[in-house]
Amino acid sequence: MKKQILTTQNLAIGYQTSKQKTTLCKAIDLQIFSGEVLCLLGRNGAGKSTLLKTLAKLLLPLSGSLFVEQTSFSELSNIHFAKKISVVLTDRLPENSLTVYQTIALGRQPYTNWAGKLTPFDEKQINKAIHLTDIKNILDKNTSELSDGQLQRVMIARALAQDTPIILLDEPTSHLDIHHKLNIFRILKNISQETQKTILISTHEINLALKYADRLLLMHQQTLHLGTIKDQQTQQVLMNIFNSDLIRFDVATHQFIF
Amino acid sequence: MNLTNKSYRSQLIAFTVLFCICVLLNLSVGSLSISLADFWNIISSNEQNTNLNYILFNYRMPKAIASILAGVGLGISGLLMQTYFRNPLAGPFVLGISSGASLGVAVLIMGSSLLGFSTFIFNYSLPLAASIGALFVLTTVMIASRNLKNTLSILIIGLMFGSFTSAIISVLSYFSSANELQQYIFWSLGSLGNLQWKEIYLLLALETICLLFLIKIAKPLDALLLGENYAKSMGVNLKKTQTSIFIITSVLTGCITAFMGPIAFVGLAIPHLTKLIFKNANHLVLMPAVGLIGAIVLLLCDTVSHIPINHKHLPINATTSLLGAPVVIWLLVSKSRQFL
Repeated sequence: MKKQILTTQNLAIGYQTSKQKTTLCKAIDLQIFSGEVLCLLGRNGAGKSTLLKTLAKLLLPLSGSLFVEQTSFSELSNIHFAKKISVVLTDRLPENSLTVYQTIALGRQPYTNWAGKLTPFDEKQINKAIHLTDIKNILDKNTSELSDGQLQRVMIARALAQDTPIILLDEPTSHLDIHHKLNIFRILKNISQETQKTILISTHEINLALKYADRLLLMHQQTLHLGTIKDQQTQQVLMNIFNSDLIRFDVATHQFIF
Repeated sequence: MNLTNKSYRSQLIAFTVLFCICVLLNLSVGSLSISLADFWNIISSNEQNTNLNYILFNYRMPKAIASILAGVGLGISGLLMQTYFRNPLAGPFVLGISSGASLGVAVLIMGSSLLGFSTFIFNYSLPLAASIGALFVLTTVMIASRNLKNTLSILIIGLMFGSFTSAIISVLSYFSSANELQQYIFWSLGSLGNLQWKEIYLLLALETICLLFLIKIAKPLDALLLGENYAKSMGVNLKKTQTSIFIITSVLTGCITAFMGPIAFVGLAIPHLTKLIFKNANHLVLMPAVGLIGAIVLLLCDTVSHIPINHKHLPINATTSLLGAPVVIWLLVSKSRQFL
Protein backbone atom coordinates (compact mmCIF):
# COMPACT_ATOMS: atom_id res chain seq x y z
CA MET A 1 0.00 0.00 0.00
CA LYS A 2 1.31 3.41 -0.85
CA LYS A 3 1.47 5.95 1.89
CA GLN A 4 1.13 9.65 1.15
CA ILE A 5 4.35 11.12 2.41
CA LEU A 6 4.85 14.62 1.06
CA THR A 7 2.04 17.05 0.38
CA THR A 8 1.93 20.66 -0.72
CA GLN A 9 -1.11 22.88 -0.77
CA ASN A 10 -1.33 25.92 -2.99
CA LEU A 11 2.42 26.36 -2.68
CA ALA A 12 4.17 29.29 -4.32
CA ILE A 13 7.94 29.32 -4.55
CA GLY A 14 10.48 31.95 -5.44
CA TYR A 15 12.69 34.56 -3.88
CA GLN A 16 11.69 37.38 -1.64
CA THR A 17 13.81 40.38 -0.77
CA SER A 18 12.66 43.44 1.11
CA LYS A 19 12.04 45.23 -2.18
CA GLN A 20 10.53 42.67 -4.49
CA LYS A 21 9.08 39.21 -4.76
CA THR A 22 10.01 36.89 -7.61
CA THR A 23 7.54 34.06 -8.07
CA LEU A 24 8.97 31.13 -10.00
CA CYS A 25 6.09 28.73 -9.70
CA LYS A 26 2.69 28.90 -8.02
CA ALA A 27 -0.43 26.90 -7.19
CA ILE A 28 1.62 23.76 -6.59
CA ASP A 29 -0.52 20.93 -5.19
CA LEU A 30 1.58 17.81 -4.89
CA GLN A 31 0.80 14.42 -3.42
CA ILE A 32 3.88 12.27 -3.29
CA PHE A 33 3.87 8.67 -2.06
CA SER A 34 6.42 6.45 -0.37
CA GLY A 35 8.69 4.36 -2.57
CA GLU A 36 8.29 6.58 -5.64
CA VAL A 37 11.09 7.75 -7.88
CA LEU A 38 10.21 11.17 -9.23
CA CYS A 39 12.16 13.22 -11.72
CA LEU A 40 11.81 16.97 -11.82
CA LEU A 41 12.32 18.35 -15.30
CA GLY A 42 12.29 21.88 -16.56
CA ARG A 43 14.38 24.39 -18.40
CA ASN A 44 17.25 26.23 -16.77
CA GLY A 45 15.93 28.91 -14.45
CA ALA A 46 12.45 27.38 -14.25
CA GLY A 47 12.89 27.00 -10.48
CA LYS A 48 13.84 23.36 -10.03
CA SER A 49 16.47 24.05 -7.39
CA THR A 50 14.17 26.52 -5.68
CA LEU A 51 11.44 23.89 -5.45
CA LEU A 52 13.86 21.32 -4.05
CA LYS A 53 15.24 23.78 -1.51
CA THR A 54 11.73 24.75 -0.47
CA LEU A 55 10.81 21.09 -0.05
CA ALA A 56 14.00 20.63 1.99
CA LYS A 57 13.07 23.60 4.22
CA LEU A 58 16.25 25.39 3.15
CA LEU A 59 14.11 28.14 1.64
CA LEU A 60 10.81 29.48 2.90
CA PRO A 61 7.82 29.23 0.58
CA LEU A 62 6.28 32.49 -0.63
CA SER A 63 2.87 31.14 0.34
CA GLY A 64 1.01 27.88 0.81
CA SER A 65 1.73 24.98 3.11
CA LEU A 66 3.87 21.86 3.13
CA PHE A 67 3.32 18.62 5.00
CA VAL A 68 5.54 15.64 5.55
CA GLU A 69 3.58 12.56 6.68
CA GLN A 70 0.59 14.83 7.45
CA THR A 71 2.67 17.05 9.76
CA SER A 72 3.14 20.66 8.75
CA PHE A 73 6.76 21.69 8.08
CA SER A 74 6.50 24.53 10.56
CA GLU A 75 5.51 22.19 13.39
CA LEU A 76 8.63 20.06 13.03
CA SER A 77 11.81 20.99 14.88
CA ASN A 78 15.09 21.05 12.95
CA ILE A 79 16.10 17.66 14.33
CA HIS A 80 12.76 16.01 13.58
CA PHE A 81 12.70 17.46 10.11
CA ALA A 82 16.24 16.13 9.53
CA LYS A 83 14.88 12.65 10.22
CA LYS A 84 12.26 13.06 7.46
CA ILE A 85 14.04 14.64 4.50
CA SER A 86 17.67 14.43 3.44
CA VAL A 87 19.31 16.18 0.52
CA VAL A 88 22.06 15.87 -2.05
CA LEU A 89 22.85 19.39 -3.21
CA THR A 90 24.89 20.97 -5.97
CA ASP A 91 26.81 23.00 -3.37
CA ARG A 92 30.55 22.57 -3.62
CA LEU A 93 31.96 21.03 -0.46
CA PRO A 94 34.17 23.41 1.50
CA GLU A 95 37.82 22.48 2.08
CA ASN A 96 37.97 19.98 4.87
CA SER A 97 39.95 17.02 6.05
CA LEU A 98 37.00 14.64 6.31
CA THR A 99 37.40 11.12 4.99
CA VAL A 100 34.63 9.47 2.99
CA TYR A 101 33.56 7.44 6.00
CA GLN A 102 33.46 10.51 8.25
CA THR A 103 31.40 12.40 5.67
CA ILE A 104 28.84 9.60 5.52
CA ALA A 105 28.86 9.27 9.32
CA LEU A 106 27.87 12.96 9.61
CA GLY A 107 24.53 11.88 8.15
CA ARG A 108 23.81 10.20 11.50
CA GLN A 109 23.91 13.54 13.33
CA PRO A 110 20.14 13.82 13.90
CA TYR A 111 20.29 10.53 15.82
CA THR A 112 23.56 10.77 17.76
CA ASN A 113 24.11 12.22 21.22
CA TRP A 114 25.75 15.57 22.03
CA ALA A 115 29.21 14.18 21.29
CA GLY A 116 28.12 12.68 17.97
CA LYS A 117 29.05 9.18 19.18
CA LEU A 118 28.07 6.42 16.77
CA THR A 119 26.16 3.47 18.24
CA PRO A 120 26.31 -0.01 16.65
CA PHE A 121 22.94 0.80 15.04
CA ASP A 122 24.39 3.99 13.53
CA GLU A 123 27.31 1.99 12.16
CA LYS A 124 24.90 -0.54 10.70
CA GLN A 125 23.01 2.22 8.88
CA ILE A 126 26.28 3.69 7.59
CA ASN A 127 27.44 0.31 6.31
CA LYS A 128 24.10 -0.22 4.60
CA ALA A 129 24.48 3.13 2.84
CA ILE A 130 28.04 2.23 1.81
CA HIS A 131 26.84 -1.09 0.45
CA LEU A 132 23.96 0.43 -1.54
CA THR A 133 26.19 3.02 -3.18
CA ASP A 134 29.11 0.64 -3.70
CA ILE A 135 31.89 2.81 -2.28
CA LYS A 136 33.60 0.32 0.03
CA ASN A 137 36.97 0.77 -1.65
CA ILE A 138 37.29 4.54 -1.11
CA LEU A 139 36.25 4.88 2.54
CA ASP A 140 39.62 6.13 3.80
CA LYS A 141 40.13 8.67 1.04
CA ASN A 142 39.74 12.36 1.65
CA THR A 143 36.65 13.80 -0.03
CA SER A 144 38.84 16.25 -1.96
CA GLU A 145 40.64 13.34 -3.69
CA LEU A 146 37.51 11.88 -5.24
CA SER A 147 36.32 12.04 -8.82
CA ASP A 148 32.97 13.74 -9.44
CA GLY A 149 31.22 10.39 -9.83
CA GLN A 150 32.67 9.04 -6.59
CA LEU A 151 31.87 12.22 -4.69
CA GLN A 152 28.27 12.10 -5.88
CA ARG A 153 27.91 8.52 -4.63
CA VAL A 154 29.45 9.54 -1.29
CA MET A 155 26.93 12.35 -0.93
CA ILE A 156 24.11 9.95 -1.78
CA ALA A 157 25.46 7.55 0.85
CA ARG A 158 25.50 10.40 3.37
CA ALA A 159 21.85 11.14 2.62
CA LEU A 160 21.06 7.43 2.91
CA ALA A 161 22.81 7.24 6.28
CA GLN A 162 20.49 10.01 7.44
CA ASP A 163 17.80 7.34 7.01
CA THR A 164 14.93 9.57 5.93
CA PRO A 165 11.79 8.42 4.11
CA ILE A 166 12.44 11.14 1.51
CA ILE A 167 15.66 11.97 -0.34
CA LEU A 168 15.86 15.07 -2.55
CA LEU A 169 18.64 15.30 -5.12
CA ASP A 170 19.52 18.42 -7.05
CA GLU A 171 21.05 17.52 -10.41
CA PRO A 172 23.06 14.59 -9.09
CA THR A 173 24.38 13.69 -12.53
CA SER A 174 25.70 17.02 -13.77
CA HIS A 175 29.42 16.89 -14.64
CA LEU A 176 29.25 13.10 -15.03
CA ASP A 177 29.84 11.05 -18.17
CA ILE A 178 27.05 8.85 -19.51
CA HIS A 179 28.40 5.74 -17.78
CA HIS A 180 28.31 7.41 -14.37
CA LYS A 181 24.98 9.07 -15.11
CA LEU A 182 23.40 5.70 -15.77
CA ASN A 183 25.12 4.30 -12.70
CA ILE A 184 23.71 7.01 -10.41
CA PHE A 185 20.18 6.57 -11.75
CA ARG A 186 20.45 2.80 -11.39
CA ILE A 187 21.68 3.15 -7.79
CA LEU A 188 18.84 5.55 -6.94
CA LYS A 189 16.20 3.30 -8.49
CA ASN A 190 17.67 0.35 -6.63
CA ILE A 191 17.60 2.28 -3.33
CA SER A 192 13.95 3.18 -3.70
CA GLN A 193 13.04 -0.44 -4.47
CA GLU A 194 15.03 -1.86 -1.56
CA THR A 195 14.24 0.72 1.10
CA GLN A 196 10.83 2.10 0.01
CA LYS A 197 12.29 5.59 0.21
CA THR A 198 10.80 8.36 -1.90
CA ILE A 199 13.42 9.81 -4.22
CA LEU A 200 12.97 13.13 -5.98
CA ILE A 201 15.63 13.97 -8.54
CA SER A 202 15.90 17.24 -10.39
CA THR A 203 17.73 16.61 -13.63
CA HIS A 204 18.37 17.64 -17.22
CA GLU A 205 18.74 14.01 -18.34
CA ILE A 206 15.35 13.75 -20.01
CA ASN A 207 15.75 10.27 -21.43
CA LEU A 208 17.16 8.81 -18.23
CA ALA A 209 14.34 10.46 -16.32
CA LEU A 210 11.79 8.95 -18.70
CA LYS A 211 13.43 5.55 -18.26
CA TYR A 212 13.78 5.48 -14.48
CA ALA A 213 11.09 7.74 -13.02
CA ASP A 214 7.76 6.42 -11.79
CA ARG A 215 6.29 9.85 -12.22
CA LEU A 216 7.51 13.09 -13.72
CA LEU A 217 7.34 16.59 -12.28
CA LEU A 218 7.38 19.10 -15.08
CA MET A 219 8.03 22.74 -14.46
CA HIS A 220 6.92 25.09 -17.17
CA GLN A 221 5.73 28.69 -17.25
CA GLN A 222 5.18 29.01 -13.51
CA THR A 223 3.15 25.82 -13.20
CA LEU A 224 4.06 22.33 -12.06
CA HIS A 225 2.61 19.27 -13.73
CA LEU A 226 2.80 15.84 -12.11
CA GLY A 227 2.07 12.68 -14.06
CA THR A 228 3.35 9.49 -15.65
CA ILE A 229 4.86 9.43 -19.10
CA LYS A 230 1.90 7.38 -20.34
CA ASP A 231 -0.41 10.36 -19.73
CA GLN A 232 -1.30 12.25 -22.87
CA GLN A 233 -1.21 15.46 -20.90
CA THR A 234 2.28 14.78 -19.51
CA GLN A 235 3.56 14.09 -23.00
CA GLN A 236 2.01 17.35 -24.17
CA VAL A 237 3.70 19.39 -21.41
CA LEU A 238 7.01 17.65 -22.09
CA MET A 239 6.81 18.59 -25.74
CA ASN A 240 5.95 22.16 -24.81
CA ILE A 241 9.01 22.42 -22.58
CA PHE A 242 11.66 20.89 -24.76
CA ASN A 243 10.38 20.59 -28.28
CA SER A 244 12.15 22.76 -30.72
CA ASP A 245 13.57 22.37 -34.19
CA LEU A 246 16.50 20.56 -32.71
CA ILE A 247 14.86 17.87 -30.59
CA ARG A 248 11.69 15.89 -30.94
CA PHE A 249 9.68 13.69 -28.57
CA ASP A 250 9.00 10.28 -30.00
CA VAL A 251 5.64 9.18 -28.63
CA ALA A 252 6.11 5.55 -29.67
CA THR A 253 9.35 4.94 -27.75
CA HIS A 254 8.75 7.58 -25.06
CA GLN A 255 12.19 9.02 -25.78
CA PHE A 256 13.51 12.34 -26.96
CA ILE A 257 15.38 12.20 -30.21
CA PHE A 258 18.12 14.72 -30.85
CA MET B 1 36.23 3.20 12.59
CA ASN B 2 34.68 6.39 13.82
CA LEU B 3 34.53 10.11 13.10
CA THR B 4 37.88 10.28 14.84
CA ASN B 5 40.89 8.17 14.19
CA LYS B 6 41.96 6.24 17.22
CA SER B 7 45.52 7.49 17.61
CA TYR B 8 44.31 10.85 18.88
CA ARG B 9 44.30 9.66 22.49
CA SER B 10 48.01 8.90 22.57
CA GLN B 11 48.68 12.16 20.71
CA LEU B 12 46.70 14.11 23.30
CA ILE B 13 48.62 12.43 26.12
CA ALA B 14 51.96 13.14 24.44
CA PHE B 15 51.07 16.80 24.04
CA THR B 16 49.89 17.00 27.65
CA VAL B 17 53.33 15.78 28.75
CA LEU B 18 54.99 18.29 26.43
CA PHE B 19 52.70 20.96 27.86
CA CYS B 20 53.87 20.19 31.43
CA ILE B 21 57.50 20.37 30.34
CA CYS B 22 56.84 23.72 28.67
CA VAL B 23 55.23 25.07 31.85
CA LEU B 24 58.29 24.13 33.90
CA LEU B 25 60.63 25.53 31.26
CA ASN B 26 58.64 28.75 31.11
CA LEU B 27 58.75 29.13 34.88
CA SER B 28 62.47 28.55 35.05
CA VAL B 29 63.72 30.81 32.27
CA GLY B 30 64.21 34.49 32.90
CA SER B 31 66.76 37.03 34.07
CA LEU B 32 67.01 34.84 37.17
CA SER B 33 66.84 31.19 36.25
CA ILE B 34 65.10 28.81 38.61
CA SER B 35 66.26 25.19 38.61
CA LEU B 36 64.20 22.12 39.36
CA ALA B 37 65.88 21.88 42.75
CA ASP B 38 64.82 25.44 43.49
CA PHE B 39 61.21 24.55 42.61
CA TRP B 40 61.33 21.71 45.08
CA ASN B 41 62.80 23.96 47.77
CA ILE B 42 60.14 26.59 47.29
CA ILE B 43 57.31 24.07 47.41
CA SER B 44 58.63 21.99 50.32
CA SER B 45 59.94 24.73 52.60
CA ASN B 46 57.73 27.13 54.40
CA GLU B 47 59.89 30.17 53.89
CA GLN B 48 57.65 32.78 52.37
CA ASN B 49 59.87 35.73 51.83
CA THR B 50 62.75 34.56 49.70
CA ASN B 51 63.43 36.34 46.45
CA LEU B 52 62.82 33.25 44.37
CA ASN B 53 59.54 32.67 46.06
CA TYR B 54 58.45 36.21 45.28
CA ILE B 55 59.50 36.01 41.64
CA LEU B 56 57.84 32.65 41.15
CA PHE B 57 54.50 33.47 42.68
CA ASN B 58 54.09 37.10 41.73
CA TYR B 59 55.74 37.20 38.37
CA ARG B 60 56.50 33.88 36.71
CA MET B 61 53.31 32.05 37.60
CA PRO B 62 50.87 34.75 36.50
CA LYS B 63 52.90 35.07 33.31
CA ALA B 64 52.76 31.32 32.62
CA ILE B 65 49.03 31.16 33.29
CA ALA B 66 48.46 34.21 31.11
CA SER B 67 50.38 32.51 28.30
CA ILE B 68 48.27 29.37 28.66
CA LEU B 69 45.01 31.32 28.73
CA ALA B 70 45.99 33.38 25.70
CA GLY B 71 47.15 30.34 23.74
CA VAL B 72 44.00 28.35 24.47
CA GLY B 73 41.62 31.25 23.89
CA LEU B 74 43.14 32.57 20.68
CA GLY B 75 43.67 29.11 19.22
CA ILE B 76 40.07 28.10 19.83
CA SER B 77 38.74 31.41 18.51
CA GLY B 78 40.71 30.80 15.35
CA LEU B 79 39.39 27.27 15.00
CA LEU B 80 35.79 28.45 15.40
CA MET B 81 36.27 31.19 12.81
CA GLN B 82 37.95 28.87 10.31
CA THR B 83 35.25 26.23 10.55
CA TYR B 84 32.40 28.71 10.52
CA PHE B 85 33.70 30.74 7.60
CA ARG B 86 35.08 27.62 5.89
CA ASN B 87 38.09 29.73 5.13
CA PRO B 88 41.66 28.87 6.13
CA LEU B 89 42.45 32.58 6.39
CA ALA B 90 39.80 33.35 8.96
CA GLY B 91 40.87 34.21 12.47
CA PRO B 92 39.91 36.54 15.27
CA PHE B 93 41.70 39.35 13.44
CA VAL B 94 39.69 38.88 10.29
CA LEU B 95 36.31 39.50 11.89
CA GLY B 96 37.63 42.83 13.11
CA ILE B 97 37.39 41.84 16.76
CA SER B 98 41.04 42.49 17.50
CA SER B 99 40.87 45.75 15.59
CA GLY B 100 37.86 46.72 17.66
CA ALA B 101 39.81 46.08 20.85
CA SER B 102 42.74 48.09 19.49
CA LEU B 103 40.38 50.93 18.62
CA GLY B 104 39.03 50.96 22.17
CA VAL B 105 42.52 51.18 23.61
CA ALA B 106 43.65 53.76 21.05
CA VAL B 107 40.69 55.99 21.81
CA LEU B 108 41.40 55.68 25.53
CA ILE B 109 45.13 56.36 25.35
CA MET B 110 45.46 58.75 22.45
CA GLY B 111 42.00 60.13 22.00
CA SER B 112 41.28 61.16 25.56
CA SER B 113 43.22 64.42 25.43
CA LEU B 114 41.99 65.07 21.91
CA LEU B 115 38.37 64.53 22.85
CA GLY B 116 38.81 66.54 26.00
CA PHE B 117 38.17 64.05 28.79
CA SER B 118 40.51 63.22 31.60
CA THR B 119 43.36 60.85 30.81
CA PHE B 120 43.10 59.34 34.26
CA ILE B 121 43.61 55.61 33.76
CA PHE B 122 42.28 53.49 36.57
CA ASN B 123 43.22 49.83 36.93
CA TYR B 124 40.75 48.28 34.55
CA SER B 125 40.18 51.10 32.09
CA LEU B 126 42.45 49.56 29.46
CA PRO B 127 40.83 46.11 29.40
CA LEU B 128 37.42 47.72 29.69
CA ALA B 129 38.07 49.96 26.70
CA ALA B 130 39.38 47.02 24.67
CA SER B 131 36.38 44.85 25.55
CA ILE B 132 33.95 47.62 24.67
CA GLY B 133 35.77 48.13 21.36
CA ALA B 134 35.69 44.42 20.55
CA LEU B 135 32.04 44.14 21.48
CA PHE B 136 31.16 47.24 19.48
CA VAL B 137 32.72 45.92 16.30
CA LEU B 138 31.26 42.47 16.81
CA THR B 139 27.75 43.81 17.40
CA THR B 140 27.98 45.96 14.31
CA VAL B 141 29.22 43.04 12.22
CA MET B 142 26.42 40.87 13.59
CA ILE B 143 23.75 43.48 12.81
CA ALA B 144 25.19 43.98 9.34
CA SER B 145 25.28 40.23 8.76
CA ARG B 146 21.71 39.64 9.88
CA ASN B 147 20.42 39.96 6.33
CA LEU B 148 23.39 38.32 4.70
CA LYS B 149 23.21 34.66 3.86
CA ASN B 150 26.72 34.55 2.46
CA THR B 151 29.43 34.02 5.06
CA LEU B 152 32.00 35.46 2.70
CA SER B 153 30.22 38.83 2.89
CA ILE B 154 30.47 38.74 6.68
CA LEU B 155 34.17 38.03 6.35
CA ILE B 156 34.61 41.01 4.03
CA ILE B 157 32.61 43.23 6.37
CA GLY B 158 34.94 42.16 9.16
CA LEU B 159 37.97 43.02 7.05
CA MET B 160 36.47 46.43 6.20
CA PHE B 161 35.99 47.10 9.88
CA GLY B 162 39.63 46.21 10.39
CA SER B 163 40.71 48.77 7.78
CA PHE B 164 38.30 51.35 9.14
CA THR B 165 39.50 51.03 12.72
CA SER B 166 43.17 51.06 11.75
CA ALA B 167 42.50 54.25 9.78
CA ILE B 168 40.93 55.84 12.85
CA ILE B 169 43.91 54.71 14.91
CA SER B 170 46.26 56.31 12.35
CA VAL B 171 44.35 59.58 12.57
CA LEU B 172 44.44 59.45 16.36
CA SER B 173 48.14 58.68 16.48
CA TYR B 174 48.87 61.54 14.08
CA PHE B 175 47.33 64.01 16.49
CA SER B 176 48.54 62.48 19.73
CA SER B 177 51.57 63.34 21.79
CA ALA B 178 54.77 61.27 21.68
CA ASN B 179 54.10 60.06 25.19
CA GLU B 180 50.63 58.76 24.35
CA LEU B 181 51.84 57.21 21.15
CA GLN B 182 54.54 55.34 23.02
CA GLN B 183 52.02 54.10 25.54
CA TYR B 184 49.78 52.78 22.75
CA ILE B 185 52.64 51.14 20.91
CA PHE B 186 53.75 49.34 24.06
CA TRP B 187 50.24 47.97 24.47
CA SER B 188 50.10 46.91 20.83
CA LEU B 189 53.39 45.00 21.16
CA GLY B 190 51.64 42.70 23.55
CA SER B 191 52.74 41.59 26.98
CA LEU B 192 51.98 38.49 28.95
CA GLY B 193 53.76 39.59 32.10
CA ASN B 194 51.72 42.58 33.23
CA LEU B 195 48.84 40.71 34.77
CA GLN B 196 47.97 40.71 38.46
CA TRP B 197 46.43 37.64 40.10
CA LYS B 198 43.09 39.48 40.27
CA GLU B 199 43.10 39.90 36.50
CA ILE B 200 44.20 36.30 35.98
CA TYR B 201 41.21 35.08 38.00
CA LEU B 202 38.83 37.22 35.98
CA LEU B 203 40.27 35.98 32.70
CA LEU B 204 40.24 32.38 33.93
CA ALA B 205 36.58 32.63 34.91
CA LEU B 206 35.50 34.15 31.59
CA GLU B 207 37.49 31.65 29.58
CA THR B 208 36.13 28.68 31.52
CA ILE B 209 32.56 29.81 30.83
CA CYS B 210 33.32 30.12 27.13
CA LEU B 211 34.97 26.71 27.01
CA LEU B 212 31.93 25.10 28.63
CA PHE B 213 29.76 26.44 25.81
CA LEU B 214 32.10 24.87 23.28
CA ILE B 215 30.88 21.39 24.22
CA LYS B 216 27.46 22.36 22.92
CA ILE B 217 28.64 23.53 19.52
CA ALA B 218 31.16 20.78 18.72
CA LYS B 219 28.60 18.70 16.86
CA PRO B 220 27.12 21.56 14.78
CA LEU B 221 30.69 22.57 13.90
CA ASP B 222 31.33 19.08 12.53
CA ALA B 223 28.19 19.38 10.39
CA LEU B 224 29.31 22.80 9.15
CA LEU B 225 32.32 21.12 7.54
CA LEU B 226 29.91 20.17 4.74
CA GLY B 227 28.60 23.71 4.34
CA GLU B 228 25.61 25.58 5.71
CA ASN B 229 22.90 23.93 3.65
CA TYR B 230 23.97 20.41 4.49
CA ALA B 231 24.38 21.37 8.15
CA LYS B 232 20.85 22.75 8.16
CA SER B 233 19.48 19.63 6.48
CA MET B 234 21.05 17.57 9.25
CA GLY B 235 19.17 19.46 11.93
CA VAL B 236 21.66 22.19 12.86
CA ASN B 237 20.16 25.44 14.08
CA LEU B 238 22.33 27.82 12.08
CA LYS B 239 21.35 31.08 13.75
CA LYS B 240 21.93 29.69 17.24
CA THR B 241 25.26 28.19 16.25
CA GLN B 242 26.36 31.39 14.55
CA THR B 243 25.46 33.49 17.57
CA SER B 244 27.27 31.10 19.93
CA ILE B 245 30.38 31.13 17.76
CA PHE B 246 30.38 34.94 17.51
CA ILE B 247 29.87 35.52 21.21
CA ILE B 248 32.45 32.95 22.31
CA THR B 249 35.01 34.32 19.87
CA SER B 250 34.47 37.93 20.80
CA VAL B 251 34.60 37.32 24.53
CA LEU B 252 37.75 35.19 24.25
CA THR B 253 39.55 37.49 21.82
CA GLY B 254 38.26 40.67 23.42
CA CYS B 255 39.41 39.74 26.92
CA ILE B 256 42.77 38.37 25.84
CA THR B 257 43.49 41.37 23.62
CA ALA B 258 42.37 43.68 26.36
CA PHE B 259 44.75 42.30 28.98
CA MET B 260 47.70 41.24 26.82
CA GLY B 261 47.55 43.31 23.67
CA PRO B 262 46.82 42.07 20.16
CA ILE B 263 48.86 38.86 19.96
CA ALA B 264 49.24 38.23 16.27
CA PHE B 265 49.49 34.96 14.41
CA VAL B 266 48.35 32.56 17.17
CA GLY B 267 44.66 32.57 16.29
CA LEU B 268 45.36 31.96 12.62
CA ALA B 269 48.21 29.48 12.84
CA ILE B 270 47.45 27.23 15.81
CA PRO B 271 44.38 25.58 14.22
CA HIS B 272 46.40 24.87 11.05
CA LEU B 273 49.25 23.42 13.06
CA THR B 274 46.85 21.26 15.05
CA LYS B 275 45.04 19.93 11.98
CA LEU B 276 48.36 19.04 10.40
CA ILE B 277 49.52 17.16 13.48
CA PHE B 278 46.26 15.49 14.49
CA LYS B 279 44.79 14.90 11.01
CA ASN B 280 41.38 14.82 12.57
CA ALA B 281 38.19 16.64 11.67
CA ASN B 282 36.17 15.96 14.82
CA HIS B 283 35.84 19.17 16.81
CA LEU B 284 35.57 17.35 20.13
CA VAL B 285 39.15 16.19 19.52
CA LEU B 286 40.33 19.30 17.70
CA MET B 287 39.25 21.75 20.40
CA PRO B 288 41.30 20.28 23.29
CA ALA B 289 44.14 19.67 20.82
CA VAL B 290 44.07 23.28 19.65
CA GLY B 291 43.97 24.41 23.28
CA LEU B 292 46.98 22.29 24.20
CA ILE B 293 49.06 23.27 21.20
CA GLY B 294 48.07 26.92 21.57
CA ALA B 295 49.21 26.87 25.19
CA ILE B 296 52.45 25.08 24.29
CA VAL B 297 53.27 27.51 21.49
CA LEU B 298 52.64 30.62 23.56
CA LEU B 299 54.59 29.19 26.52
CA LEU B 300 57.52 28.47 24.21
CA CYS B 301 57.31 31.90 22.56
CA ASP B 302 57.19 33.54 25.96
CA THR B 303 60.14 31.43 27.13
CA VAL B 304 62.17 32.45 24.09
CA SER B 305 61.30 36.09 24.52
CA HIS B 306 62.51 35.94 28.13
CA ILE B 307 65.89 34.38 27.45
CA PRO B 308 67.99 37.15 28.98
CA ILE B 309 69.93 39.14 26.41
CA ASN B 310 71.39 42.35 27.83
CA HIS B 311 68.73 42.21 30.53
CA LYS B 312 66.02 42.97 28.03
CA HIS B 313 63.29 40.79 26.64
CA LEU B 314 61.52 40.73 23.32
CA PRO B 315 57.87 41.75 22.93
CA ILE B 316 55.64 38.67 22.69
CA ASN B 317 53.95 39.86 19.51
CA ALA B 318 57.25 39.87 17.66
CA THR B 319 58.28 36.46 18.98
CA THR B 320 55.06 34.69 18.03
CA SER B 321 55.28 35.87 14.43
CA LEU B 322 59.05 35.49 14.10
CA LEU B 323 59.00 31.92 15.34
CA GLY B 324 55.62 30.81 14.16
CA ALA B 325 55.22 32.09 10.64
CA PRO B 326 58.22 30.20 9.17
CA VAL B 327 57.14 27.01 10.93
CA VAL B 328 53.64 27.18 9.47
CA ILE B 329 54.93 28.01 5.99
CA TRP B 330 57.33 25.07 6.15
CA LEU B 331 54.60 22.71 7.34
CA LEU B 332 52.20 23.82 4.61
CA VAL B 333 54.76 23.63 1.83
CA SER B 334 56.00 20.21 2.88
CA LYS B 335 52.50 18.78 3.13
CA SER B 336 50.72 21.04 0.70
CA ARG B 337 49.07 18.28 -1.31
CA GLN B 338 47.16 16.85 1.61
CA PHE B 339 46.28 20.10 3.18
CA LEU B 340 45.02 22.62 0.71
